[in-house]
Formats: sequence, C-alpha cells, structure tokens
Amino acid sequence: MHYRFTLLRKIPRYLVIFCGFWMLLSSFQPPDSTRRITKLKSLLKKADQKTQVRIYNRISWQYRNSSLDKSIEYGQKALDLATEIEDDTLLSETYDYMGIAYYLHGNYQQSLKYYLESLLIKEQMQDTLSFVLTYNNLAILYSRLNNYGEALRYFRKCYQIHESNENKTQMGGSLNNIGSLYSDMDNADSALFYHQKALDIRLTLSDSTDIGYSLKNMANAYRMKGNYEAAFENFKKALKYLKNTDDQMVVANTYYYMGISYSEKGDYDRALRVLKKGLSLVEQIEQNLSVRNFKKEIAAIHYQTHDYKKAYQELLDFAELQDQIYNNESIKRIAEMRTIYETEKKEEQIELLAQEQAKQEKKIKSQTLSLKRTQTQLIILTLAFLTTIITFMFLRNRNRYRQKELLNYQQLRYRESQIQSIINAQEKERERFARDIHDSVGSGLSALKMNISNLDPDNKGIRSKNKDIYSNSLDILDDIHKEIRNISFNLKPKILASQGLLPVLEEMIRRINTIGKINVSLNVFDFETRLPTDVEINTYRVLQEILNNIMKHSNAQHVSIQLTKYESEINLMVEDDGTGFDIQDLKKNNSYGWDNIISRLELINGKHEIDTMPGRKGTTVIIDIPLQNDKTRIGTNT
Amino acid sequence: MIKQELGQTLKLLIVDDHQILIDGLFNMLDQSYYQIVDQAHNAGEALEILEQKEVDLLVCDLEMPGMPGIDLIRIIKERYPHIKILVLSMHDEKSIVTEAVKLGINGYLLKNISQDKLLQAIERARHNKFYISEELTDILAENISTKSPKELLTVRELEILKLIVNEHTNKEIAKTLFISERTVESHRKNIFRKTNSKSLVGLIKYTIDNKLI
Repeated sequence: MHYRFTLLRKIPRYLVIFCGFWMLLSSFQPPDSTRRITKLKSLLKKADQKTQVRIYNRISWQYRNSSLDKSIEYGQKALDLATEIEDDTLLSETYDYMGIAYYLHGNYQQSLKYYLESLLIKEQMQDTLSFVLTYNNLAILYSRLNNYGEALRYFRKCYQIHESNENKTQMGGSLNNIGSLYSDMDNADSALFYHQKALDIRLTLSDSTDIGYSLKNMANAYRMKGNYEAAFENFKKALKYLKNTDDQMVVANTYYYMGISYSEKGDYDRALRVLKKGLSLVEQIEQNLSVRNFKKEIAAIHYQTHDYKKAYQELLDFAELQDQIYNNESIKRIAEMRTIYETEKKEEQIELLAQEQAKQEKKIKSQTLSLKRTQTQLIILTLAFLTTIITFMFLRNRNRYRQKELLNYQQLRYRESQIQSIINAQEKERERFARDIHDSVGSGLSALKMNISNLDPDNKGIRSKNKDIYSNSLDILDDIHKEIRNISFNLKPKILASQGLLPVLEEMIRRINTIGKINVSLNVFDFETRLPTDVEINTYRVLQEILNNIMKHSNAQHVSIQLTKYESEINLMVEDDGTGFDIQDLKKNNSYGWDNIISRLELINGKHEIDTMPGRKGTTVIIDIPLQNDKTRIGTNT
Repeated sequence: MIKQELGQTLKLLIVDDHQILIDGLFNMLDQSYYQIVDQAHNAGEALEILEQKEVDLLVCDLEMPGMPGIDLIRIIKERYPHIKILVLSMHDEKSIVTEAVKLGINGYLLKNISQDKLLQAIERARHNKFYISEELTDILAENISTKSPKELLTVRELEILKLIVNEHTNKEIAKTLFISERTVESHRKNIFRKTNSKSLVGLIKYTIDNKLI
C-alpha cells in the first residue's frame, strides 16, 4: 500500500507541471486538431511571410502530440522562412515552439538546444520580456531533468523580470510555478510559502481560475504536510473559485487530490464521491491519463472497502486505459526515436556505416558459417558418398570374391577331374603293363621253366633234343628281356628326362616300327633345344596315346608325325591313312586314352583339333601347344 | 666254350649295382685268362679302386645309383685313356647307345648277352676293336645326317605345296585332299615355317629353286 501511494503521489507531479505551469502553452491536444490544421493550411496561401511563419508554427504546434516529424517539418519551414525574412522575433519564437515540441517528445537535449538558440536571439534583441517564455520553458525542462536548482533559477529569473515590470499576473504565475517546483521536490513548507504569495497577489487580481489554482496547490501542500483540515478547507475554497472556470482540468485535479486526501484519511465514501466527480470531468475532456489515474485511485478505494468486484472492474478499465496510453506512448516513443535519429544524423550515419560494416561482417560470418555449413554438408555428402562407394565396392568385392571362389571351386573341381582322369589313365596304363608283364614275361618264364624241366640232367636222352631245348630257352630269354626293356621304357623312358622329347619320340617310333605292323615316320623342324619338362612329358604321353589309338582302331598302314617349332608354340600333327571315325563316339565312349589326352593337353594349355570323318580314309590330329610358361601348370612326371 | 687265345692275363674291373650280374660274369669268365681285380657297385667305388689297382678293362653299367655310368666313362677316358671300356646295359635306346659309343668305348653289350658274345667282346676290346650287340647294329646304321629339302617336307606337305603354288585356295585344297580347311591351314603354316617363306612369292621361289615340282 505504501508503494502504491508513493506512486500516486508521483503522478500528480505531471499534473502539476502540465496544469500548474500556466505559462506553458496548453499540452492538451484539442480533439479538433486535424480540422484546425486543415484550416491553417488553407490560410497559408493568402498570408504574408510573417503570418506564414506564425501559421507554420501553429501547424507545428497542432502536430506536437500526434506527429513529431510533422511538427519538426513545419517548425523547420517556419525556421527557414523566418531566417529568410530575417525576423529575429519570429525566429526565436519558432525556436521556442520547436523546443517545446522536442520537450514533449522527450528529446530534452534537442529541446535545450532550441531554447538556448531562442535565448541567444532574444539577448541580442534586448527584449527582456520575451526572455520570460524561454526561461519558463527552460525551467520546466530542467525540472523534468530533475535539475531542480537550475529550474528554480530560471523560474526566479521569470519572477524577477515580471516583478521589475510590475506584471502582477505574471508574478503570480511565476510564484505558482516556484511553489509547484517545491512540491515536486517534496518541500511542502516552501511550496506552501510560494503558493501563499501567489495567492496573495492573485487575490488582488480577481482571476477566479488563478485563485482556484493557487488554493488547490496550497491544499495539496497541506495534504503533503498531513494537515487535512487545512487541505479540505482550501480544496473547498478552490472549488468555489473554480465553479465557473473554463479550465475543467484544474477542477478535476482539485477533485483528484481531494479524493486522495479523503482516501488517506480513511473517508472512502467521500473520497469515492469526489473522485467520481473528477472522473466524469476528465472523461468529458477525454484526458485518458487523468482518467486512468482516477480509475486506479477508485479501484484502490474499492479494494480498501472490500468491494472487490468494483475494484476489479475499475482495474480492468485502468488496464485498458493503460494499454491505450501505452500505445500512444509507444507511437510517441517511435517518433522520439526518429528524432534522435534525425538529430544525431551524422553519428547515426557513422553508426549506420558501422552497422553496415557489422552487417557485412555478419554477412561474411554467415557466409563463412554457411560456407562451413556447406563444407560440413560437403563432408557429410562426401562421407556418405564414400560410404556408398565403399559399401558398393565391398559388396562388389564380396561378390567378386564369391565369384572368384566359385571360379576357384570350379577350377578346382575341373583340376580334380583332370587329375582323376590322369589317375584313371595311369590305372589303365598299369593295367596294360600288368597284362604285358603277365602275358609276355610271365608266359615266357613259364615256357622257360618247361624247357628246363624237359632237359635231361644226366644228358642221357637224345642229344639233339637237349640242344633244341637249350637254344629255344635262350630265344625265350631274349624275348623276355626285350619285353621287359619295352615295359620299362613305356613305364618311364629314361631318356625323356636325360635327353629330351625328340630322342624319346625317335625311340618310341623305332620300337613301333620294329614290330612291323605299322610304319611311323617322324618329321621335326627346329627341335635342337629342349622344351619345358612338362611340355616334353605331356607331349610324349599324348603322342604315345594317339599312336596307341591308331594302332588299336584305325587299321592304318602309315602314320606321319610332324613336330614344328614356332617362336611361341609347337605344332604337333599326326596323320594316318586309317579309317576315319565319329568324334562324338570318341567322346561318348569315355575311353581312358582320350580322357588322358585331353587332360594332359589341358595341363599344358594345348589345343587340339581332329580332322576325321566316319568311313573316310585318313585322320589328322593337330595340336598346338604354347611355349609361354605364364600359366600355372600342374606338373606331372609320369 | 670258345677256346681262349693265350696271352697276358687281362685285369678286369666290374662296375654294376646288381651283385647278381657281377656274380654271373664271374661264372662266365675263366679266371686263368681274366683276372677280375675287383668289383664296384657305383662310380665312386670304381674310381677309388682305379687309384689303387691296375686295370686293363672296365665292364660298366650305365644306370647306377649316384654318378651315372656315362659320366664315369668320361672321367676314366680322361684319367686313364689306356683302360678299355665295355658297356653292359639294359638300355637299347638309340640315343643312349649313341652317346656312349661317341665317348670311344670298345663295346656296347645288352645284358641278355651270352657267354660267347661276352668273350668275343672282351677279346675285341683287348685288341682295341669295337663290339656291339646284334640288336643294336641297326641303330648305328641309321644315318643322322641333315635332311634334304624334299625330306624336310612330308609327302602330304609336298602335295599341299603343289596346290598352293598353283594358286589353289585352302577350301579347294581341302576338297581335293578330303581334309578340313583347318588342317590345310595348319599344313600351310607349317610349310611356310619349314621353307622359311614369308610370302607366297617366296614359297614359289623356294619350290622352284629346290625343284620340288
């Protein structure tokens, strides 16, 4: 409660200033301001320049509460014209108007500047009387700035001027202002003193409104001192004097302070009655600021009397008004901001430049930031891209790996089958050798044993018989020996490793030709040097197998074998004059001999071609074997 | 039994990895005429004996563990040129026989040799003459001379060469000879290779020069 009262006491100070400083031109904005402005503007064309200056000032004045820009604009027009026509009086008057405009908008610095400009001109003009207005305005300005000492000094200057001119009306006004200033300074005694002096003068002048002012101010001073009896006495006197006044604001003000006084005294009924009277007055003259103050005070009283519903209602109204005022204040503040902008243009410009620079920096920063963001995005994108690539590559590699594995597996299977067919061929060969040994060596030995058992140990029998057996046995032994040499050679020709392919082929052919069933010829070209071991072994085995097949199946008389060496390959050509056959049969029959040929050729990357036809005479087998060792071969020494 | 010619007792060294063969030889040779000074089962042993004992004739196998008989012969021929050498081998391969013979041995005998043939070989060796088993005489008879141009090419190749020179295509040649084009192509390739021809013109020139047509 105490704070609220302190606050309430502060508000009247405005009222004191605006209502109490009579010298100051009315701060009330007439409701018909727009109409007046239009009318003033229409007067401009016909008026002379001096009048134009005055009209500009009036228009500026009319705009003072609504638009500072307009106010300043017209003030400037007045200023320009006054400067042009070199009318110092009008010029200083214009400065005064502009000072007030800036003051009302809270631009006190600018206000002070114009007041001082005005004062400067007036000093040159030696027009001391006209100083009063400026001094008064300066005093109000300083009091607003809480510079009470300076304010008081200017008010006193006003009083001194008026006193020297014996202008009692103005003297009363000045004393009133000094009293109000002391009230603002919470110096009730001094306030009472000056208001009393003002009243004394004013009572001699019989201006009832002025007298009412002074009485009201005295009453408030008494209230401040806590002397409510004196306060009420003066309030009532004031109201009597103000009965017929045009200035409804001072009446409302009287009611306001009366109400506060009653409220402070605890007489809420009377306080309420008085405040409502004042309220209706300010509502009539649409003084929202005052209405608000009344509402707040009334709400407080309702609260005190526990009539919360009414208190709430009043507070709602108060809040609404507060919003309105605040909005108006906001508009004003915006205007003030503009003013500040105007007045401190250069600084503003510098600041603007600085801001621009800052903006640029900010922009650069944001650009850098966005660049960083872009970089980050790029990095993220790159990472994402890389991840995708890696994943892709990983998958592909895995796929490749799988394919490779599959291929390896297939190759492995293929090699396995190759090895299997070689093993099979070897088994087949062993079978053949076993049969050869059994058939030739075995039967030969059996015959030999029979021969020996037929021999007569005592040499008693026919001498010629023994001799026959002896020579037959030696023949059998020779046959066995020969057969064993052949078997040994076929199993593993010693000369293949020691002397190479050509000698072993020659030997093989010689052996075949020795049998006499078939004539084999060998024609070689450029075979002076040895070939890779695996090529020699496998070529020999392949040729051996081909010759076996020819001898077994073709009924050929002649076989021609050609070995032609090229730079990077050897060409093997075997031609026979036997009966041709169906290649498909060869493959279908799944003969070990043929499988052996294919497997051995695979080992040395040999390519074969068979030129044959069933029933046709002559078959040619062509085999090309590369000599580069770049491909891994499964070595076999059989 | 062949009656041996009287003369100085011949000192023999037998080198073979098979004891049974050595024993067989012992039985076949009359010790009064042929003094078998020692026996060795490999080349190393043989060389050791040769450093200690005087030997006139070496009967040697070719296939032995360690150093091959052929290398032993080379060493002996170098160190002891006066020692006569007879090869007694299982191997009847032409290349093996030829290689040994080229080293200047005095005889090549297959192991199925009879006593009289053995003695015949030894006696020929004693008189620095050469002996070879009957089965192998054909081998040495074969001429290993360079082939003439006509022998360079096979019969089939000569046939094809004629057709090529007469500007027949592979297809025509294949039809004529009842063979496949691929076979003709292989033959053509081999003919060019063997005649060292780079072009058809070159091949024709070769054909004319060597009177192949």
